[in-house]
Amino acid sequence: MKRIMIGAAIIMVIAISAICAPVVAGYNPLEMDLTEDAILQKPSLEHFFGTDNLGRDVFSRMLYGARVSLSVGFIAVIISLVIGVLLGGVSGYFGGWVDAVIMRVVEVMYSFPTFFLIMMVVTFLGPNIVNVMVVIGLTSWAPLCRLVRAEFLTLRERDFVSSARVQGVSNFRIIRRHILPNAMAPVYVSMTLSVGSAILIESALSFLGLGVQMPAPSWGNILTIGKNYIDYAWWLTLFPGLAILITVLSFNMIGDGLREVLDPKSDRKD
Amino acid sequence: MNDNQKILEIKDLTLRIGGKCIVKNVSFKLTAGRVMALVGESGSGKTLTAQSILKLFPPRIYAEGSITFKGKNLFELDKEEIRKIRGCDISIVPQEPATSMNPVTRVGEQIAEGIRQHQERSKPDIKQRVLELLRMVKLDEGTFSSYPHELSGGARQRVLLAMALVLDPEVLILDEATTALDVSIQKDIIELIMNIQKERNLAILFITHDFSIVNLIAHNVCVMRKGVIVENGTKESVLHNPQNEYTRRLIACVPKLGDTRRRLPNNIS
Ligand SMILES: Nc1ncnc2c1ncn2[C@@H]1O[C@H](COP(=O)(O)OP(=O)(O)O)[C@@H](O)[C@H]1O
Ligand SMILES: [Mg+2]
Repeated sequence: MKRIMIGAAIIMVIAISAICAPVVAGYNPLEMDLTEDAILQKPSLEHFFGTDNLGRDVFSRMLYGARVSLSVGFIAVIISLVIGVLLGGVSGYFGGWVDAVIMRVVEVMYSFPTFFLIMMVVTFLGPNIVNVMVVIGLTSWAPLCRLVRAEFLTLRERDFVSSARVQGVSNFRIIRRHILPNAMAPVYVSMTLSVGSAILIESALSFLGLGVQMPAPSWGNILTIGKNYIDYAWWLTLFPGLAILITVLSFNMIGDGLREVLDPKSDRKD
Repeated sequence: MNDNQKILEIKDLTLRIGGKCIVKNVSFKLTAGRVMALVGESGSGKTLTAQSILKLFPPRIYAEGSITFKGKNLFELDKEEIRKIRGCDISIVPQEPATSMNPVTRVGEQIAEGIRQHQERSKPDIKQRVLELLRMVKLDEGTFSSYPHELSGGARQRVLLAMALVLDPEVLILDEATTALDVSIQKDIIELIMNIQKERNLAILFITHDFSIVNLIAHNVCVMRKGVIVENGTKESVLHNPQNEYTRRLIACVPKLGDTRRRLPNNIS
């Protein structure tokens, strides 16, 4: 419970500052100042996280970058949630050949090295944030699908589901009202954990130049610049690195906390 | 018995799984206003027989015979047609009150589920009906917003009864509906069922392996053994003048009929 609160608090702070970026930032994230004194400034009260090689304020760029990271994380996960729950649910509830086909597809998804698949697709479609979100979403639903399928497989045999069937409740309604609400606990856990990994993938793609394109800021592409100046301008690497680490860690904390709270084997307060 | 009052007739029901015959040539009739007890040790095929009535048998079962409800052969109906019979005309009360309710849904919503599925009614109207049912099964109106885990076993069984009755079915099937309960609570529930049965002129199929309950509730009795009906008659004739050796042995296991404190052992034969 404590972990959930801490994780959620950190995410809230990051999310709110990202949303209010124009107010909080203090600088235009795109505004360059190429004068000798302005570039690669150390962190100071004026520039909390210093400036980059083009004299842009890193703190402001990171706030706008948080928008990218969080929205990629959430939207990618929502896409994979919809696909995973839909296919996993159909697979687990109806079984038979539908299940066999879906499970083969899932195995194929599993056997691809996902990151390279994402890289290839993004290169092919052109690197931009929408493509990144969609591609991460489209390639990360397989574990969720398996999870939901397993839940549905056990739930459909439960007495309360047969008693709904005895009452003439339709398959659609049984799934929506009786199975899905009971299957959601592990789904929430897996979702929070996936937000973290989606953010990591986005950062990696941006770092490699396949995600958000400069001059638009993202945590990943600030790191790309940082890489070139790592001997001297440590702040260009440290702050975005920390931001990614803390964000991913917070989501994992929420996920682990949820897992514990929602685990029927641990005594829960409901 | 007046024959034109019969509403459900099972004729030569035979169920096979992978060549193995589990239920063989089972025939009996249910009549409005009467309670038929289906008795037999566990594994004799009672549950499968009951499920067959609503075509709810497990996959890979091969069924023969006919089940006629008010002139319609239920075996000839398609999935959608039989679904509309379930809960509306024929209801089954399940055996396990502990696991037969959705753990994350409020009791009132669960009772309302049948109405929502089968009828178009306004929200207050539905709530009205659910409260009416809670009163009928002698539960507090506050139960409406409880979750199943907050209720006792007896109260859960009452809720299941309310769920089964919400659409005013004509046939009620109770599959060992009181077996999981304490003996004193069992008696209350049986009394409740008997009252509702009279009030509504229900046809009831009461499945049990306990002859002492049969004595309390039944008008007619079928005794089933290894998938075959070995005895079928009025309660009086079956209890006092059993024709079959197996029935005699079952009855002999109840030392004093009417004494519900005793139970039959499950493994006779
Ligand atoms: N899904 C199934 N597959 C195979 N055999 C089954 C299945 N369900 C029940 N049976 C068998 O059918 C027989 C009758 O079961 P059942 O109707 O549950 O008996 P009862 O309700 O009288 O205890 C049992 O021997 C059981 O092993
Ligand atoms: Mg049974």
